[in-house]
Amino acid sequence: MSDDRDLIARLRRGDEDAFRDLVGSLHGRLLRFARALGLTAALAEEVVQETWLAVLRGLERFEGRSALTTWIFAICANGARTRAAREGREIPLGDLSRDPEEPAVDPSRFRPSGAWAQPPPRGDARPPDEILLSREAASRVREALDALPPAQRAVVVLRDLEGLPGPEVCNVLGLTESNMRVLLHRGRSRLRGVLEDYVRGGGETHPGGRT
Amino acid sequence: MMLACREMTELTTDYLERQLSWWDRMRFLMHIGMCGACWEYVRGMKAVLANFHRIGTEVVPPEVPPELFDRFRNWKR
Repeated sequence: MSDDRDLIARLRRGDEDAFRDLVGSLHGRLLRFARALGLTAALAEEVVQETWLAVLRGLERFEGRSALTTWIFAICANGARTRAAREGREIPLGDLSRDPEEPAVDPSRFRPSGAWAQPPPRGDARPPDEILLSREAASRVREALDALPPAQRAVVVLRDLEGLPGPEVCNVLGLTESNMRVLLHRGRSRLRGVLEDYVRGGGETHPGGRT
Repeated sequence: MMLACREMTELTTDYLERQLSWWDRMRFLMHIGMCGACWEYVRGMKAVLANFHRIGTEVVPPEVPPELFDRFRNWKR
């Protein structure tokens, strides 16, 4: 967070370049996050603008206990919540009682013993971090991400797209560690399932085809 | 006790997030070592995670309202 300290000092000095860099790096990501929380494009736009104004108002008092980015995402999440409430809606975060139990894999794919009856198809043999999803495969997974329930989507966006550490995701969304992990697990499991269906249907996961 | 394949699919996130106890982690690793189907399952999950930068919903090219920068300029005054 020492980079943060430097950046915050520049912002507090009124360094406009520093502010432009910050906005340039975060504006689009905040919009994506606000959309992930279930806001319409227009509302997300408003909430993100209000977020920046709140950042300016709060910057002098920001104590750096979290990363600057996390703090800004948290302001955005609060703004989104307030905004949704004003529109008579709420963002259902952390209320897992309303989420039906969702197994990671359809239970009918297991034998009564819990062993696979219908195992996942064999994918390509590369190590996972060398697998580059084909454009088609990536867009299937992206559609599935867009279709996740808001709470799962918000957690997956912050943890897996933004790469925030788990505890910071909890702070931003006001979730307990265990609820956050349940949401992450459900979201990720769905995305994995979509990729599996795609492979099962004969789709190629790698731009160059399967090895 | 051996973990069942079904339990493995429910523990995969905790495994990848390094949230399993030492003992559960050992059981998890023992299972993948012996079960090709679960090994494939975990690989599929890792492939999704490794590709998030490609999966990410498009970041809209930011159209930042210019007033925001005016606000910044006047912020200290």
